[in-house]
Amino acid sequence: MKTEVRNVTRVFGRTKAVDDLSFSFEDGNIFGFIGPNGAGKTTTIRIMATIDTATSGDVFYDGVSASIYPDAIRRVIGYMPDSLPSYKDITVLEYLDFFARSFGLRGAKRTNTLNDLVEFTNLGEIRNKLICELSKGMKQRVSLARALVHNPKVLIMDEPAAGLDPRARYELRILLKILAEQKKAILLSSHILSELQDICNGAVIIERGRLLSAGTTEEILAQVENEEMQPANAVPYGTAADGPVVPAPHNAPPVIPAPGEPPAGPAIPTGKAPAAPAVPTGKPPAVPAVGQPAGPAVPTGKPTVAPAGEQSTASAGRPPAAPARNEHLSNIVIKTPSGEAEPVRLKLLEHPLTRSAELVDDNEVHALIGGNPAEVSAAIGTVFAAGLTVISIEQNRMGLEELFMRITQKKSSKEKRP
Amino acid sequence: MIGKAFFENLAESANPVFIKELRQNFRNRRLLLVMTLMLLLQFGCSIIFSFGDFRDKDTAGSIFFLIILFAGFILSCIVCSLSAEQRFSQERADKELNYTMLTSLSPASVIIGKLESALVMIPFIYSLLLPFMAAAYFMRGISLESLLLIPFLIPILLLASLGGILAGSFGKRGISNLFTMGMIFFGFSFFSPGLFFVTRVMLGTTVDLQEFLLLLACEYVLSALLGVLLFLFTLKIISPKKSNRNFALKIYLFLLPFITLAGMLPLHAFTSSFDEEVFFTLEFLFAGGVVFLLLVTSIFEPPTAGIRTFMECPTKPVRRLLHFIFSTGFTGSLILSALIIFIPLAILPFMHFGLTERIVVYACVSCLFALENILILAHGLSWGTKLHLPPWALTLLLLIPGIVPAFRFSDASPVMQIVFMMISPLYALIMAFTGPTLMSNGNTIQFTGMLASCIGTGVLFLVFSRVFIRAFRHHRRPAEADSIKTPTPEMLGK
Repeated sequence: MKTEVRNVTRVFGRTKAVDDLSFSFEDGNIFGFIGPNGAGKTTTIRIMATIDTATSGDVFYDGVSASIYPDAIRRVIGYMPDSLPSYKDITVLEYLDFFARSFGLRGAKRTNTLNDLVEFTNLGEIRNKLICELSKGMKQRVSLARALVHNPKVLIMDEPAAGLDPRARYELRILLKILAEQKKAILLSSHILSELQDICNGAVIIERGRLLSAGTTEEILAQVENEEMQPANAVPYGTAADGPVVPAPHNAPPVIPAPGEPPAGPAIPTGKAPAAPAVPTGKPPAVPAVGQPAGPAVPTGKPTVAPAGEQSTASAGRPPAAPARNEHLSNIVIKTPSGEAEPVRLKLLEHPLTRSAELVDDNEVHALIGGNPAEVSAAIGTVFAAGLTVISIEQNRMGLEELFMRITQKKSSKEKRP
Repeated sequence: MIGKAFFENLAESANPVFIKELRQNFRNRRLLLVMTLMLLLQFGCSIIFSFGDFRDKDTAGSIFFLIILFAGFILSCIVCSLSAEQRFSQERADKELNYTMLTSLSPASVIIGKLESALVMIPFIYSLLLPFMAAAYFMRGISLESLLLIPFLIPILLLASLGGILAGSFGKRGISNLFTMGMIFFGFSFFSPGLFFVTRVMLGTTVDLQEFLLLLACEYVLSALLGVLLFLFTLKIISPKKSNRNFALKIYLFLLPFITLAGMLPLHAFTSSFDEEVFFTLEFLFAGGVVFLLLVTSIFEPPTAGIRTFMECPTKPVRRLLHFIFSTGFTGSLILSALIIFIPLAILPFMHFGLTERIVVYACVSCLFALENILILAHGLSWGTKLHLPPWALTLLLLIPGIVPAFRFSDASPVMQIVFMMISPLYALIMAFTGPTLMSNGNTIQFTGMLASCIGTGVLFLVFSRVFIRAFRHHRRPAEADSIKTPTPEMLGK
């Protein structure tokens, strides 16, 4: 089901909460809805959920207008607000039962649906508890169950992770990924951008009711690139200024040693050999690469590395809700400030949305890498081959946040210009 | 097992709101506390009656029964209205009603569910009082006359529940509470026929069947009219924005003067003396009240209806005009108000009393007065926010009918003054502040003031006639309506 927000404007008195906002997303996607406080996220979400109506513009679900046919639309959307009231006189199951009845579920169908929901959202142990006795995380699960009671195709969530502890956030992420795999379209707003980065494969960024950027992660990245949002010291892979180009091997997993251990040697299996030493000298050479880290943050010393081949496969047949990180690197550039071939302790910080990664030693940037996953991995492997020691490989969890900040800064600087 | 299956089927087909509220009601500790206190009070009454001087009197039993009955009635009134109001206003405050409205439930079924859950408490409350009723029976307190009281209490309880639901729909807890408490206390006086009958019974006066039926009919008819009005107001308030939320209410308000007209004719059959002037005045009073209600609702309406209403708009001109008048949008309300105020005038030719100059002038002035206030109410608020000077000047012009009589004695009869007060909130306001001197007869300057304002009203009406015309032109099915994609069967739940 395609969800389209078309030129939606919402005015409260003299305040324009939402200003000509347009974006769209389709099923199987998890879209983040990002913006600072007062940006108009909740207003937009309420309009999308048919709770409020737009002053102008409209929201369409598979082309059907939400303002003209709200009753029909409500059957295919699920709305999860940011909080659940603390009822003192109704249990979790009774509450869900009410909504199941309200959606016309009767008899065994209702019972089965409720059982499935309770199981899916892990509410079994608290099903007979009063809602006022629940923690914030439990309430959010109840709220999610309520939004799913009629099996909607589109799920609209307003700050679902607000106030949740890390474990509850993790559980929520898992639930959302499962829902996306069930081909549901999910739009969720959040202030915790790192949370969104892990699960979203697209984003809508708004500020003061206006759209700054929208689309899948790839689309946003392309937009950022077009607007010259790349870091100033990044140099595209293969330029003459950076020395010879070293094509990356795509088929071999890298071997990254733990700290203190001798490097396992360059796992530069097949393909073309490095054309220059990996250790930077006067002029930074291009570095042949090995594999690349994948998955969540890798603990220091014991990085887990996924084979480059696997990454490419995953990228080609990517599941809809797959995390966006590590899939958008296309060029390799390494710069070293010192140019000396001495072992340094490096840390890899990835910036997936800006297609770059940094090799840093404390606060000093030793290398800035851009490239596809295999190329980055290959580059790291070369670094090891040169006798460098990697103390940790960490995911940079600030990708979306950084992107958001860059876009908003760019916009504000544009506005300041005469 | 048949019984179990029956109850299961009943529960399956029951209103979901009713099921939910019932569960909540019986888990609410406050309700249980009130009931416990009530039982203790009843127990205290029983002790007093058992050991007090009343024991020796013949009427002790009936008085005891009446006390039990009324205690249960008052408790039911409070529980039904206050619990419905508090739960509903809490839901509004928590935005929980929004989520309910996102389901397949219609606003009407939400209100009905709440009404059912409020009313179901009544038998429960009275069942708690059964032991005391039994005591009253053994004291020979239950007679046929006293049992005849019960039909008088039922519509009041229904109205109390509906009033509580309406108050709860306001969404402002303070206002809702105030409204409900006011309704509980002042609502009883509204039903004076029933209370009158109760008093007669308590005093042991014989009541003939005709009088009983007349009073009962009066109460039931009034309750039904008022009940539907409360229901429709609640429906309007909780209906989604930009839906045609005023449609049913406007149709009902338009029909109300006709319904009362039809309701008064059977009363004519019961009563030997039928005063046509009183009949006319009552009809005018109803029309005035209806116009007042329309005005109050119209100030909260947008100028025109939304796209959903336009999609339902007929294409034939007459039907389109009717749709325009009765649909949401204050321009339609203004025209409807003008139409309603002329309904009593339409029955004037059928009256046998002389068409004196005074009545005609009253009627015409009332009509203009109504129009004038329609304009003030409809535009005054928006003018106030925009702070434009010319509209304020015109608004001040319209204050003349209120200002002029404020300095001199009024010439209007008390009955017509009531009509004016109902039609014109402005007039009522001034009357309230200037005291009873205005109620005296013998002054003609009020007419002068009113007629002077008619010029301003006429001019203003002409100025705003383009608003009506523009709104009517705009009120049509969109040209692209046929190309708008309709919901899929899945969206329609098929």
